[in-house]
Amino acid sequence: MMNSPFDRIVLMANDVDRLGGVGRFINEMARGFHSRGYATELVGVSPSPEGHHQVVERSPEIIVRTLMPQAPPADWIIRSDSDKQDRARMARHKKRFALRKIAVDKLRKLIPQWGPRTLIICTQVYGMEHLLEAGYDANDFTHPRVVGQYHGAFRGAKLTGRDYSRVMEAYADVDRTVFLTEEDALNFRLAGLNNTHWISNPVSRPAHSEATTRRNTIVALGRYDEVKSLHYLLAAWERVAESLPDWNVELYGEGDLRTQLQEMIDDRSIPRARLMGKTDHVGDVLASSKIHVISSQHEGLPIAIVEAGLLGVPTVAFDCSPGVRSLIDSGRTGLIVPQNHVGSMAEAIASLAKDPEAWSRMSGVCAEGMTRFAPENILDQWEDLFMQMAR
Amino acid sequence: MEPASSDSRPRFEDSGPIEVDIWGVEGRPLVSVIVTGYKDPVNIRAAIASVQHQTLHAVQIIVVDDCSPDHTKETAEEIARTDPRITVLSTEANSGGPGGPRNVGLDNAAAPYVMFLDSDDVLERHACYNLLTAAEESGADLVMGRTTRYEVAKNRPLGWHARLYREVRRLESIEDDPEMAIDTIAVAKLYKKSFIDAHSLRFREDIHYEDLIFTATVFTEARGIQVIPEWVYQWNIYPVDVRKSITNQRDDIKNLRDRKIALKEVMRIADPALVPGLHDRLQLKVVRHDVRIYLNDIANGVDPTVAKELVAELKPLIESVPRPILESLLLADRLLMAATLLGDVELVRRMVDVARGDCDLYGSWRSAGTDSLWEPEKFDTYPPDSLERTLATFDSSELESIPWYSFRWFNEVDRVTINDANLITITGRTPDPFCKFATHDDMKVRAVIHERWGLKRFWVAPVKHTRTGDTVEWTIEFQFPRDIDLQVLPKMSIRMEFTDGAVAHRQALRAKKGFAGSRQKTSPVGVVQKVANIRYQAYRTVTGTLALRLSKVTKKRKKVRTAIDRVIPALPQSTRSAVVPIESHLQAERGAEIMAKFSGQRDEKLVVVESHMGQSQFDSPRAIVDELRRHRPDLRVVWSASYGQEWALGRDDVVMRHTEDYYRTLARASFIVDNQSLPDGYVKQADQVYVQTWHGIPIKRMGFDEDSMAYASKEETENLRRKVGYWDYLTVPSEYFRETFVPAFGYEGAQLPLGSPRNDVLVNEAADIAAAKTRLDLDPSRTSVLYAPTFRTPGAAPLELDLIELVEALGDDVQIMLRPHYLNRIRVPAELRANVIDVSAVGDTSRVLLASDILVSDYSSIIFDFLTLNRPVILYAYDLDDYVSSARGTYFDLRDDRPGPLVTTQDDLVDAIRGSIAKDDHADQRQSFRLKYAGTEPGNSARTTVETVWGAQK
Repeated sequence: MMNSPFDRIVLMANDVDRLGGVGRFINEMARGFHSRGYATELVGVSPSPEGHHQVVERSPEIIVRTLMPQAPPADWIIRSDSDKQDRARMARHKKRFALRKIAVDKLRKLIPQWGPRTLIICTQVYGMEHLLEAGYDANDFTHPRVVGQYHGAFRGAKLTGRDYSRVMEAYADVDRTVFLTEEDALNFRLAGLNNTHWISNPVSRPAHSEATTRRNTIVALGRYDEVKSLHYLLAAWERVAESLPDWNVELYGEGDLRTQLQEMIDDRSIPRARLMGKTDHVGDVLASSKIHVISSQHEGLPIAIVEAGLLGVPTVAFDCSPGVRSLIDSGRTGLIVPQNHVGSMAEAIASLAKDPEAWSRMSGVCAEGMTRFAPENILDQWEDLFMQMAR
Repeated sequence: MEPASSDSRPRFEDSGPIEVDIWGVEGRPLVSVIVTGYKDPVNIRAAIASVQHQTLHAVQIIVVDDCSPDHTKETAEEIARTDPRITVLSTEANSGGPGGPRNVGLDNAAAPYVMFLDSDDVLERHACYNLLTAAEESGADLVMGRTTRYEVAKNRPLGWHARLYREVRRLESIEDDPEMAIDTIAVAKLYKKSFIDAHSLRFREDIHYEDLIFTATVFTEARGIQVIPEWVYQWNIYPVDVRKSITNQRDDIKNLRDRKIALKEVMRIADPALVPGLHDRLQLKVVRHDVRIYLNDIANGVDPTVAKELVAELKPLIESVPRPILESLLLADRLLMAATLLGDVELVRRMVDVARGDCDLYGSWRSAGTDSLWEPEKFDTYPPDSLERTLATFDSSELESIPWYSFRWFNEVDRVTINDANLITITGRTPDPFCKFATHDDMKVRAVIHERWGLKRFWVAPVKHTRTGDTVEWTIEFQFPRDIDLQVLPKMSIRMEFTDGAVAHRQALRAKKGFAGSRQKTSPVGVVQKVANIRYQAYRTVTGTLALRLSKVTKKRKKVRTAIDRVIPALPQSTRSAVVPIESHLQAERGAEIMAKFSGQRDEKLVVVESHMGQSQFDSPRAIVDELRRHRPDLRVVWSASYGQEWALGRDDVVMRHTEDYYRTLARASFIVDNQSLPDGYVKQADQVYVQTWHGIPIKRMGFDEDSMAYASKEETENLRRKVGYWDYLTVPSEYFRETFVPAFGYEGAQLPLGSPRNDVLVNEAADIAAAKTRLDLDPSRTSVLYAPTFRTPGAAPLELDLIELVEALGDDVQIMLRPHYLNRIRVPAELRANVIDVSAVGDTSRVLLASDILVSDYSSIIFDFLTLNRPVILYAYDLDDYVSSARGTYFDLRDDRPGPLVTTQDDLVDAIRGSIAKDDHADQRQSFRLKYAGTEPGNSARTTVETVWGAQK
């Protein structure tokens, strides 16, 4: 941290030890900043919800705070008169705001304690909304500096509706807002956000045991939900399964649509496709597979593509985000097919599965360019940003 | 776990934190911001704070006071004591403008870049950072960012050349895009200091409008101009005295003289030999902007003698502009310049209205081939090649080709009278030199009166009109209602409406200040109105239109007026149940209750018809109604109309959707004809017959096939099942529809023989495309291309077409018809109306389809209907990626299976249209698509439907 204008980095997220991209990001970054000599803190707005928690080992010097004493209840929004008559809902609504007040009160004390030589990296807009409610003022230079972050893509933010306006509002005044790709930063810039910047997320090669061997497996690592829309992969597989009798499909994850996906497999008798549930051994899963598939509606910068690439597994993906395009050189290091075009996806999968030479060629080069996501590189980019902020 | 204290962080022996000095990590100022002010001790605080709060720290803040007699300077000095980045300076003597203090600032600027800030404005927080980064990365002499004007009193932002700042751009010099030079303000720009020094740039202190001269020099000399999309500067607009006194009006003349001096200097600097593009653009700006400022003042009513002088001063300024530039102006602007050259103040006022777009051109004109002369009595005296005469000569076909329903008349009110019986008579005249006003036999004229608040009721009143030469004289007779809404006492708008049965077009009435009869009032009716002294009178609104409002009364009466809404119900229940819709969240419950309670006799002759949830009187339901008139004249048809539908006004065979009367009428009916869905409150009566004619063949998944239904609550699923269960007959246009729609809705009732009633007319009238064009007031000899995009987001949908380029590319032989989804509006620039016709006013889609040679659409079911005509279809799916990802899924993929070329860019679209005009290359593809999805329309579907449902003729 030679010359750095900051001596403390606070990484703030909805919750600290939650499974998923943001959880991995804050832990990786906390480890990195700590090793570079920054006082490092992790702040979660609330505890991660039941079943989504993961155990992370980290230095005891990294301070972890959780602002709310318990996870806020879901189903709390009051939209109509009938919602108002729903007592349980009203109680959840009240509870939610009571918890929010606790979180905001804590932040109100922390802001002056942290002071101006602290940088808060606010990875999700929800945290920023709490900071603002706690009186954070970017114009007050006795307050910490804040860099906002959005881990999704511009198009995704637009599709979800609220995300877009929340980002535009909450991050308007913070010193910088960091997106994951150049294209997303540009899109937000053209939409009227005046403080855009971009830095990719760090990704390291996942560990795997030496004993793994490659099987003829097509693998997906997305949640069972509408965004990851794994039914497109199943539909594509259905078209080519017969011509690939020694191949199979494995979907690792969990989520609300498990039943629907299982029904789809059963109703249509899709052969050799299995819902595997969640895995803690991504490295082993990828090292023993041959093709990785992303069939999502939108993505940020999907870490799974990098991890697969680093382990020699090429990805077939829908053209669903700038992130996907920046990671795959279609035709050389993987294959990008038109969004939601089942026929093209089926063709792409078959073209790799039926041509071992083509697969080997791709597998040999798909790690290329992925090292730019090495944590040390990403940390350097963040420290460069700190210096720019201190001009 | 919460740590006890946040101070438990690790300590480092080797590298302690290094203090960042006042100029940030680089230890020197990077941008000098020159803040100038005069007599502004209040706002200057906010201005300075906006620089102090910049995300870029290395900002030298130079405040220069222009010898204010108050404590402006002291205020700045007080702030400077708390921030070492601030220097406060002063001019030697008051310089009378921002130029002097800015020059002092330039003399003292120490940073490699400078920018200016006026003391009553503010910088956006990231402005310096963004401008500096752009300057460093590009090496440009000048970086330009966007300005937001902000109306302080009304708390609302106004634009300022926003379209110039939509993307990141790099110009080698202004010649790359002279358009950028119309942003002539010196602020919101970052200048390289070495560039300023190399050209010894300073502001002129001897004349006003020094900004114009400064930026003209900068634009001429700058090598490298970088444009960034971020907004950087907030230009605050404070309220000024609205009405200018005569002395202030005189200031206008002085101003104009100063401006002329500055403009002359600007033209000298922007040397046409060096920067020809810049020179021409600034010349154009003289007429489009500089001259217009003063002409607008004249139109807003300055004193006549002042107006005369202004016009005389403007004449040489206009004459200084090269003729080709004057001749390139849009018609209205050109004639406005001609009127100014003539010195005719009345004509100037009229033309400002036209140039503003309040109405289309009117006045006398003489046709001579394609060249026509405007106001010949006035311009005839000038020689044929004089500037005046040249500018007043125009191509009248530009106006004649505009269909009547896109034309805006100047409907001027002469007089308003109100008699004892509260009959309001409005007389007026409409100049109509291009013969658009009610010249078609089937065009009807009436007045529509509309409550602006409260119940928002409508009334219609007859309009009598006679034509004398080029002028139409008209009289409106409106019987003022007795049942005034006493709770709200709303203002009422009055507009004239023209309709030919399928097209409706409403226009405002224009009133002069102090029009005759403006003091007449209605008389109160009944005790309550008398006590509160409720009287309405006609008045001129701020936009110059005629409307009705409550007359002014004494304070005491006013108290009575405001008190009555507590004691008096707004309206009798009988009126309410016909005109007031049930509150939306109660509709389902209350509607069902009314229908369940209904105990009266079913009316076996009553047919209730609803099209597009009451938003239309066309589509298949209309075709069936027309057939019923012929086949079963004994039946009585009642239409359902949603609120505000023009076709429903003043009719007694219409019920307003969601009113209590609507549900009662539904309960009484023996037959229901629909093409979409009746509201949740509809409960089918035991012996009713329900004919569902569905409005389109689906591409997107529907009904239980929709992905969202997989996650729907039991309630929602049940509701859909209930509604589908009501249908007794279903219109089935094609086998594809039978295979997709029918199972998707789980429909099990009777299916009508293949065909769609709405498309009968397409089959039967396809041959005479010329007649169809004539009916829409289009030129039958031109090819018509219909663009009908599907619904995207509600409201004003941005049109993903550059209309000007499209018109240029396709030429005058093509007329483009625009038909946005009925929930969207699209604005067609006035000058394009001869080539781009907004046909959203045409209620009957079939009429539009019949008049179209080529259809351009995307994912709309209109494609299937159009295929009936067997004419070319082009899919313009610029957002195909978004569509396929956000869609709920489709039955087939348009990329695999389509009726014609699929394009995603405007260039490809133009090629495809040109291709289709030249040769119909896709007939086979279209035919197989048609057979697969749309089927073959028999042309007598309405008749078959009526015979099947209603049986033999009576």
